Amino acid sequence: MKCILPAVNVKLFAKAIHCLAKIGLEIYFEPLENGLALKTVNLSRSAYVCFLFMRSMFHVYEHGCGDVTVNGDAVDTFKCKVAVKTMLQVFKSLSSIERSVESCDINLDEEECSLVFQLKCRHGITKTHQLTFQECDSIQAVFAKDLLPNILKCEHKLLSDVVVNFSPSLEEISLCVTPCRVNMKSYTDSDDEASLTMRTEMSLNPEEFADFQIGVDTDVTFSLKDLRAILAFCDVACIPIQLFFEGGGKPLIFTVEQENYFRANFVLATIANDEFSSQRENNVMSNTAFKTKMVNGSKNLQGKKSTTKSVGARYSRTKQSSINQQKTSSVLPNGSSKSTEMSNHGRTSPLNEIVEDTTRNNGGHADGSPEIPDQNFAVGQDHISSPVEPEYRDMREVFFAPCQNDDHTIVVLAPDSDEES
Amino acid sequence: MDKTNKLFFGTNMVLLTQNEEERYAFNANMNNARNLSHILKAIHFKDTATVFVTENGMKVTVEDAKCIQANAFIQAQVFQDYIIREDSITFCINLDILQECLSIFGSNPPSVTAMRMMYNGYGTPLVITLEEDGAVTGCSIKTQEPDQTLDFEFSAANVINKVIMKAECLKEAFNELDVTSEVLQITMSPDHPFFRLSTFGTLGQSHHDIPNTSDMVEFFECNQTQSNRYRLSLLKPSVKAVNLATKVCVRMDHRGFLSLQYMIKNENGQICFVEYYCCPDEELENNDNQF
Repeated sequence: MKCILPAVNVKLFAKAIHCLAKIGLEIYFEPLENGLALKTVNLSRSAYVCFLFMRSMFHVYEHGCGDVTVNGDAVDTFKCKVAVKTMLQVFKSLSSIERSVESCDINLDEEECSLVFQLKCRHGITKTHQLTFQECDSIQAVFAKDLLPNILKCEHKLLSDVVVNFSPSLEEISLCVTPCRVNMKSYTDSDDEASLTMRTEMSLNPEEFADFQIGVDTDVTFSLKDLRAILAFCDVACIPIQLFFEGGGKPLIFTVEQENYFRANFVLATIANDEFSSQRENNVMSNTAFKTKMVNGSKNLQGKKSTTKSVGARYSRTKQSSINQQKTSSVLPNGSSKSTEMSNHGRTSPLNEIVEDTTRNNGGHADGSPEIPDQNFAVGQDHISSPVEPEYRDMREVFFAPCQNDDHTIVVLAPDSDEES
Repeated sequence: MDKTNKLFFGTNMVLLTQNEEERYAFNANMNNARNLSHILKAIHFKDTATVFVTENGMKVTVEDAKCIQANAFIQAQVFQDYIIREDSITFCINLDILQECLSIFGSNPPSVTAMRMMYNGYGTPLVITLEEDGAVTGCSIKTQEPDQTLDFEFSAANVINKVIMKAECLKEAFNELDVTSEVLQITMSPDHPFFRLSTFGTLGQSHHDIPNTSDMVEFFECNQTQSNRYRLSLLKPSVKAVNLATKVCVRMDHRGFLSLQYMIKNENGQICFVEYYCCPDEELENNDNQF
């Protein structure tokens, strides 16, 4: 494989490497017919990233591997993986790359066993890096984003503005969507007091999204660190970001794409929403009943400012709320009174409450009606009345096929959209 | 305000040293202590430094592993007053403590600390008086028996290859060196690749080429191709110097010994030099035989 990246695209490429480095330990390097794919998966296999740099991004692109074809399919496409540290060595300083690099030659020579990056810089300086690599098979996450019911599209700035408000030490973040609002809130799974002392929550209005399709009301909880890595990349790419998701335990897919230029898919695992977790979530929700008020307030704001989306996005920051929640027990009386208030307001019959308790997920998926929040509150209240809080289970869905040999294969199962021509 | 400071300092010093001045073998005064501490930063990779004082100026030497030597030259002109009553003075001093004393009032640009340095010969401490905004600090640093410093016998006559370039491009190269590599190989040659820095790390090889035609290169005189390896751990301290320098002169003699001369400008626009000498690694020849 041989290709040359022009100066304008080197920074994007470098930024992609930095993004991959934040997620995985190895970068899978796959020259495909339509472009160069860089992939990584993190150690716990809960995050997968695939960048596809299409032919048009390069001055010259010879993938040189399709020569051997069987029934029209290119076989033996040479693939390798490189340690992230190695790649970072090449693209260490983004600022100096932006300042001085004039072009970047990438040369993968199977016979010579060398992956060579040659950066041609100003003042005639040439930096050549001959990297060691490991031959390997392709990796592919199992996902089909086009089949997912929920799609959001927005400027990356919107998400960046939200994420910046969350504590740097926070590990996971929940995205809760209904047809009338999008909430992002901090997520903690342990019961220790320190992690419960601050909760952060932000509410976004659907109008702030360029594309807003919610087929299923749901909560998805995923790694904030990974989201930050994605947003750091988007910062350079300056193009809208798309989210595809279904529900807890199913992958959440972020896509950043510039037609015929490059595409990045980020697949993040989400925490499985079992009964307990939804109850707990609801418990929290009922404790923070004033949230509804906040959302209403935001609607008013949005109503006034509906002409400009960017202004709306800025206002959304004021909707952030952090709630001091000390011990569950101390908050309970307060929370329960609030939730009662809410359920009186919204609940239709006690029967509804019981049914919802057992089949909450299914019900939610089926109708996706605006009544759901009220039902949730009802569940929450039900939960509060029970003195012992059930043990909370935290299971990350592994969406990769198990790997037989750590050194080599990761089974390819997916109808992955990266392969499409 | 600066002027009044100096006045105050001056009068104060006169009172203090009127009769003592006679006594001191070495007595020097500097308006801005940063001019000294800035240069010393470039060679500060070991605690112990040997100081040589002659009528031309001061030379501070730091060595490590008998393989690398760094010299900082501070000419007499950099000092406002410079009196030496002996032919030459040599002593050892803890560089850490000296640097700490020099920046006792902080080392940020807006403030200016005036300094007087006095030494009264073998066995006596180095006395430093610092003054800023009327506040005076007196420091007395114990000196040590001078060490024998290495003589690299590096003479200009034996230099085979010499390149002078702007520090900027070497700065980038030095800061990006692959730290997993044990050695830094420097190749200088009259043909391609002209000037090459190579590292051989666990992650692969890297080469940094600077051609003779680059506008970063000011002088290029290479007579024959030379390629020598130097311990990266030994050369690493010179990154401190390159970060402060404006120009760098790289020379290699017939034995492969390396000389790096850094030109460093101080705040008064005066030029000081810092020089690093480094022995080559013998390993290269062994490697050549093996492969």
